[in-house]
Parts: sequence; structure tokens; C-alpha cells
Amino acid sequence: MYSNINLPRQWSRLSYIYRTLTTLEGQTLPQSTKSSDGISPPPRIPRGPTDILQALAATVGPDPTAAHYKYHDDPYLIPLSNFRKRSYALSAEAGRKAAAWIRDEHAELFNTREWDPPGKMKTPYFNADPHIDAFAPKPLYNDESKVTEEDLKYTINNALLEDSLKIFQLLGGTSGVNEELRIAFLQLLCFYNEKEPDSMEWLEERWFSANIRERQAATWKLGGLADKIFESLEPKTSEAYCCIIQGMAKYYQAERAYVLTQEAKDNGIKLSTSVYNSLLGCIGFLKEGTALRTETLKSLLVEMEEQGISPNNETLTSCLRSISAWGGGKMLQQLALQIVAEFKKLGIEPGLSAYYYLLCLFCKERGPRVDILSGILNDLEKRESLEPKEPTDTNFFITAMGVCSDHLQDINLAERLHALLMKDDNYKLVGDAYKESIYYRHFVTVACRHAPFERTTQLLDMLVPNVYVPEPTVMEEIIKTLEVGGAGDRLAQVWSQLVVFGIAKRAKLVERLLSAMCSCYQYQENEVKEKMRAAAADVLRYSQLAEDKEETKDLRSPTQKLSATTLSNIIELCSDTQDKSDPNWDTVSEALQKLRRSEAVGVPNKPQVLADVAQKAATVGKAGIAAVAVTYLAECGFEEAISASTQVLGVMLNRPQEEVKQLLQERQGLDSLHPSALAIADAYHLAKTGAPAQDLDTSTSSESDSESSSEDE
Amino acid sequence: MLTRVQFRRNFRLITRCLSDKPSDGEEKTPEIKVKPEKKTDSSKEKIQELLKLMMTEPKISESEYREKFATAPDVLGKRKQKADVIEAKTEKIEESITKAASEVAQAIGGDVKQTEAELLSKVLGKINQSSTTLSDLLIGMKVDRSRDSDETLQSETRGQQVKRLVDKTRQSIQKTRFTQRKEKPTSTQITKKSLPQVNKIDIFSGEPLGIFRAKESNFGTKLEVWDKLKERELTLATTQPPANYFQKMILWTEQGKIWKFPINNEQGMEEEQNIHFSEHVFLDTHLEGWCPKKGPIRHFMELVCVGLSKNAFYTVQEKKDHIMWYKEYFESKKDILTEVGVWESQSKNAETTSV
Repeated sequence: MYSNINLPRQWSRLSYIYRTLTTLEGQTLPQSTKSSDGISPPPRIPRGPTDILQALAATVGPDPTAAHYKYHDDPYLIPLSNFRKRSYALSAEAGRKAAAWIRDEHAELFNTREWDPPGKMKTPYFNADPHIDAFAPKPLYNDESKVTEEDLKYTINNALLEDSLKIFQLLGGTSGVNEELRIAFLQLLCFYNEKEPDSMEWLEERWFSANIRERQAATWKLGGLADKIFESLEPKTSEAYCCIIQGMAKYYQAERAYVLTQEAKDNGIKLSTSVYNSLLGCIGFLKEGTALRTETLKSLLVEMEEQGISPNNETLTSCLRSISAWGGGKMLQQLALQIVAEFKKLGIEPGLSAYYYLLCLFCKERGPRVDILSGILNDLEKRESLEPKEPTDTNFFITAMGVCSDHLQDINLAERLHALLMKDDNYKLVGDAYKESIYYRHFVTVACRHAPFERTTQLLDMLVPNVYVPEPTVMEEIIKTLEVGGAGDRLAQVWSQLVVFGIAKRAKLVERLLSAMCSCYQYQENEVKEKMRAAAADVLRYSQLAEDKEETKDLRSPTQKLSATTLSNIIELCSDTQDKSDPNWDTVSEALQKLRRSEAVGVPNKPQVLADVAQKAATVGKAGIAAVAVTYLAECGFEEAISASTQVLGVMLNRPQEEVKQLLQERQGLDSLHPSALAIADAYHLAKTGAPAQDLDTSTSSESDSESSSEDE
Repeated sequence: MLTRVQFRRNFRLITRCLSDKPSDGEEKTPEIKVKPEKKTDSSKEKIQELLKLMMTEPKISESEYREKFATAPDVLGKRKQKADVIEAKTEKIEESITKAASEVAQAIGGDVKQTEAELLSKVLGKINQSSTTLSDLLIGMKVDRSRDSDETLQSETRGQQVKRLVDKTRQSIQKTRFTQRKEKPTSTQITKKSLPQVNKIDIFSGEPLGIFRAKESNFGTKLEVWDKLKERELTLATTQPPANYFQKMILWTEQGKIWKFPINNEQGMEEEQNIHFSEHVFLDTHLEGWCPKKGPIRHFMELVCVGLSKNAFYTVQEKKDHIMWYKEYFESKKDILTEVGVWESQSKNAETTSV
């Protein structure tokens, strides 16, 4: 199996190595150095510091059968559920952060050179040689620290916004810093809108932070420091204008941005492509109505042409971003296509972000089905490589897979898309953990619904659990597919997966799984049947365990109880045995006791199962189990109770049914019977008359409570 | 900004009034005819004021308004006219119905107004506001008596309960949330499958706008820091935790945490890069001028030089400083040294060389 999966990947890997090697070869210097004696040493190929490492890394393809690299330090603790994966990775990161904290807090401990005599300590933390910036403690700035413009430059270059703000204040604000540095600082402020950006250092944190989509609202800080610095610049250079306009437009302060653009144009200041790009991106905040917006968009483009500023890739993206945000409709779609064509004419190919916005525009949830994706894939597959150009590029694959799954419901397109993602190092375009899991959710869903069964199982084997852990909804989809495919073996496996993934407490899911198991139990091989029985027995054990745990510990959310249908399914599966000593009978009696004590939710939907079980138990010689089953049926008021009780009693007493019936009606000689037979006789009367023969001790008010609560669900 | 919003709200109000004006006025007429005396004076005045307000010219002309704000395209206006025609028709019908109703009510006798109102409310689907007695309100209501009271619930046996529950679930099986959720995808699937073929769109099929003409590129003013930050955000968006050790090493190399390939012993010692090795090795030149030519001090200092020449960690400057430190040390001990006779010759030599 493993080799089967691996082979195609090996091929792509080989071709990738070949490609990297050829590109490396392509760097060779001119080949003209041919000496006369025929011996010519090959010219030296200059390599970057990571070239060799990259070539080596390309030989290690992704291995879906192994856990991710970050988890493999301790095989015993390899996490398999989403929650544990996350906490494991973040714990490791927390350790690194703690180390960094100590380094920063106690910088004085990290400043010696080993070969220095102990007495020879020079300036703090600049003593080690060679000096490694990455390991040096971060300078801390507070009100007392003496700062220079060098410090400001350092913080700007490293995007340390909070620190740079502090230094700027210490340097005396707008008056204390020279103009060039002020513009650099202004750019930093405008870019991040005076908010500290994410750190580059903590990759795992970024990977797992479910960063919500940035808010589409005017969040620009009006009258903030950026505005003040801009005002302090005199004369206002074109850099200053470009910077402040881009910042405002980036954070949707559209009106001010347009006013400033007009001002700049009046003053004859040259703007830039980026300025127009950002203006194009916030048209929606300036004008209302499609017609006015379209007009503004076109006039902005015309203005660019008039000013002699050439558009670039981002111009296309911002146009499409704006259009896709204005809603749908034929008009806008037409406009988007026109714009794409216009840029194509200029030799600007739409990037992944542009395609993302096109998908948003054309494939509406409730709109007509439009297949724009196959055209996009045709184009992307033709390209040599997909270079990320903008951060929004990471939205493409998840959206496209969503379109495959919900909009087009086309497994072939989904497979093509996935192949594209797996090509070369395109996988970096998947974004973060959140996006990745949504991507696979869509992929698995569409595969379950529309792919051939073999293909689906192959895919599941590859993805689950190391690459992707299915969420409950996806799990339900998988169970459905397995049920239709009749894969009893895999259904039994699903139970253990549920436990491992930490979703085994979802009663609905378990109910679904067991009914799926029951429905395809009949035509399984004996070996598989055994596995399924074991799984069913384990379900009961697990729920027992969970309840015990709940009693001992004070948990916040109560565990969901198994439904009566689930229990009856367990009983059905486990009772499939002819052997009296089979341990599964214990499970059956346990489940029956649970039903009897009304610890389950609702009533079983197939009471005939219990009747059959009672008979089977009686045949095998488990009179107690038979009695409990029949009594439960009678208490619940199922019609099956009457026939079941006579049959079971017939089997137990080894007499024909008519005789038993007569015996029961006469109610004589019953006292001499075995207690379990007596119980069955009681049950018969209960079912027949609606009231028990002697006393009833089961129907209490607590039961009616549990019944009504089951209704609420 | 705020004022603009308020302004716009005013406009909306006015426009709504404008659009509603004809129909509103016409609808009022029949009701007033039926029961003019019931209307209170103040409400009448209010309506009149409102009508007057509508009559007056709006503060901004239509064309001006259209320029500033998004308006619906003209097609809608035509539709409105049509609606007006229809309303005019219905209005005529209403009038005749009201007349007929009042005639019938008079023929029946008794509480004329009450009957008339009831008749009208049946026909027009309006509830007459004048007859708000409790019984009238209650007429149309149905009391749900199907629900069982709690006492019956408790008195029934478990068997009866289960039966009731089973029946209920059988009836309302489609209505539970779970089944709805379960059924939704399948139903949409079926409907979607029955739909005709999806229409395929070629992305490059559009007609170019024809705005740009290709020429040499000019991207205008460049913002260095901005571009760098953009680059940073891009790498941040596309970096993933390393998937194998090589990738980890790549990451560390890029972060500057490990040696760069190809391995070079002098990495990170750029300070010394332009200094010839001889300066590190031949340090005797620094003894010239102050050190005795022979004797124990010379011997000691030569050993110091040998040691320093083998030190790979000090910079040339540090080595020089090291030697100079000895020079200063010996000079501070000059008196003793001359007494012992190890420094004398040096000073003489120095004198001779200086002479």
C-alpha cells in the first residue's frame, strides 16, 4: 500500500530534483573558457548559502504515513487529534519563547567568549565573536534608555513598531528626527496602522492562529501619529504623499485618501503605481452603487494612463478585489472579464489573488453554477511555477477547493487542483493550519460524495490522520460513504479513529456509525464481523468509562449519553454468536441493563432486534438476558413484547407455543417456574394488559423527565 | 461624515414621501368616507401637514441628488407608474365595495357600522380600527387545545409514554433539526444534478477596455520601507513550519543562526577580512623601539609574540594592544629594571638609535 501511494509522489519529486539541478546548472558562467590543450576545468558555479540545502530538502518529499516533522521527536507522544496537534506544537513554541525571554531578561549572562579570561568582560553582549544577531538579546527600550537615530533605523528595519514609537518619542518627536528617517518611520506607521505586526520568529504561533479575515472597515487612526508626522514634513515630498495615501487607502479611509490625492495632483506631485493600486482597492468605501463605482474605477485607470504610470500585477488584483466586494451580477462579471483581458493585452497575467477574487465574483453560493475554475486551472497548469506575489494568494486554493466541493461538485477538478497544490513547493500557498484544514475538509467531502469508492479510501488512507484530522461533520460524510461502500472493516476502524481524534463523545456520530455498521453487518466476512463486534463492545465500554469519569471529576460539559438506538445496535451486533461463553454476552447484558435503567436517550427504533436477541439468548441458555430484553420491551409498550415473550418462554420451557400461551393465560403453575421465566410471564401480562401482573416498580417520575429531555434534542 | 449620514436620511424620508404620495392619499379617501367622525382632529392635522410637506419642493433637485448618491436605474420608475395605474384601478373597486357594504349593512339594520366594518374587513382584509372590542379580537384566534397537560403526562405508564413518543417521532420525523440538516445536502444535490449543464466561462473572453497603451514601464515614486514590509508580509504568509531537517537548516540559515554554506572558517569576521595574515603572525615589529635587543625581557616578549601569533581569536588590534600593555607595564617598573640591569642596554640602544 505504502509503495502504491508513494510511487506517483516519487516521480514528481524526481522531476523536481531534476528541475532544481537544471536551474542550478543554468547559473553556470560563460562556457568560453576552452583551453588549447583540451583540458578545461569547469567554471566555478557560485552557490547561495541555501542552494545545497534546498537541493537536499527537495529529495525529502512529504510522507503522509509519518507524523509531521515537528512532532516526531517523541514517537510515544505523536499527537493525532486536532486539539493535541495544536497544543503540542504550541507547547514547543512556548518553550522556545521562554528561552528567548530569559535571554532578553538576563542579557548579562550571555556575553562571554570562552577563550577570554574571566576578568575580561567588555561591553555587554557584544563580546562574542562572530557576533550573531539572531542570538543576541533584543535591546529593550524604556524611558531611561539612551537612544540614537541608529536605534530608530534598526527598529524600522526589523518592523518593531512599539519600540520604534518609544524611540521616536525619546528622540524628541517630529522635531528631533531628520526628514529621511521621518519618512521611513511614516512608512512603517502607515503600513501597519500603528499596530504591532506579527513576529517573524514564531512560526507555529502564526501557523495556528486562526487569523480572522481583516475587517473591511475604515480602521485608519485619524489624527494619529502618522497624520502628525505627515503634517510636520515640509515641503511635502512625493514619498510623503504616496506613503500617507497608501496607508489611508489600505485601512479604508477612502475619502481622506482621495482628498490627499487630489491635493498632490494639484501640487504637481508625482504619484506611483502603488498609490493608484491602493486607491482602486477602496473605491467601494467612496462611492455607492455599481454604476458610480464602475465609473470611478474606469476613470482611475484612465488617470493612471494620463499620468504615464504603468499598471502592474497588483493593479489587476486591486481592481478585481474591489469588484468582487461589490456583489455579483452580470454587469460586474462582464467588467471583471474586460479588465482581465485588458491586462492580458499588456502582458500582465492574473495571479493567484486575481483568480481568487474572480472565483468570489463568479461562484456565488446561491447563484447559478458557473464553471470558471477549469479555465483557471488550465492557465495555472501551463505556468512553470506559481510564485506567491501577495499575501492574499494563500486564499486561492482553499476557495477553489470550496468551489469544487459546494459549487461544481466535481471530483476531477478537485483532483487537478490538489495535484497543482502538491506540485513543486506550491504547498506553501496553503496558508495556515486553519486554511489547510478547511481545504482538506472540502476535498474529503467532495471525494466522499462524488469519487469512486476505491479512490476515496485511497485518499483517506493518505490524508488521515497525519495530514488531516476530519472534523465531526466530515467524519459523518466518511461514515456514510463507507456504509454505501459496504466496508465493514473500515467502519470498525472508524471507531478507533473517533477515539483517537477525540470526537468519540459525540453521541450523534456514534449512533450514525453503529447504524452504518448494523446495516452492512450481514454480508461481511467472519473475521470482519468479529472486528465489528469488538468495536461495538468497545463503544459501550468507552461510554461507561466516560460516565465514570464524569462522576469522579467535575466536568464543565456533561457527556452526551448514548441513544437507545445505539444501544440496541450494539446489542444486535454483539449478540451474533452461538457460543454461551462468548464475552460479548456480557456486553449485551450490560447494554440491556443500561436500557432498563433508562440511562439511554429515547427508545430503540427497531424493537424487533431486542425480541430476536431475547430468543437467541434463550436458545443459548442465557435466560437472564432474555428476561431483561422481554421485560424492557413490555415496559416500553412495544407490540413485539407479546410474541417475543411467548416465543422465548416456549424455547425456555421447551414446549410448543400454543401450550405456552394457554399456560400464560391460565396463570397457574407459574409460581414453580424459574425466576427469569417468571419475569417473562410478568412481561407478557404487562404487554397484554398495559399493567403488570403484580407490581410495577420501574415507572418513576425521573424516567418521564429523561423522556422529555430527549424530546428537546 | 456624521452630517452626511443625517442628511442622507432626511433625503430618504423625503423621497419615500414623494414616491408614496399619490397612492397614500387615494387610499385614505375611502376610509375617511366611511367614518369621518371617528378620526381625531389632531391626527387629521398631522396628515394634512405631512401632505403639505410633500407638496413643497425638495431642497435638492433630482439631478443633483443623482449625482451625489446612488439611485436606482430608470427602469424602476416605469414600473412604479404601472403600479400607480393598478392602484388607481383597485382604488375604484374599493370604493364600489365600500358603497355596497354600507348599503347591505343598512338593509340588515341593527348596529350598522359594526356590520359594515365586519363586511369590509372580510373583503379587504383590513381590520377596522373603530371596532376594537375584545370579542372582535378574539374571533379570529384559535386556542391550541391539543397539548396535554402535565398531570396526564405523569399519570401515564412508561409503556404509554413510549408509544406516544414513537408515534410523535413518526409523524414529525421530517421536522427535527437533525434530519433537516441531514437531508439538506442530498436535496440540493439532487436539484443541482437535475440542473442543465453548468455554463463554462473562458476567463480571457472579455473585450479589453482599451484604456492602457503599452509603453515603457514607469512605476512612479518608490517607497523602500513600504516595499520591504510588503515583502515581509508575503514571506510571513507563505512560510510554514519546516517539514524536515534540511528545511529547518534553511530556515536557520536565513535567520542567521547557523553557518552559511559553503563553510568558511572566517564567517562573521568581516572586520578582519582585509587584513593580511602576516600581520597576525609577524608581531616582532611591534617590539621595535622599546624592547631590549637581548636579555630576559626580550626573551619574554618574543614568547608573548609567538603565543599571540597562534591565537586565532584576537583581532590584530587586540594583539597590538596586548603587546602595548606589556610595554606600559615594563615602563612603569623602569626603576627596578634599570637597577637590576635588564633595561639599561635598551635605553642605551635607544639613545644610540635616536642619535
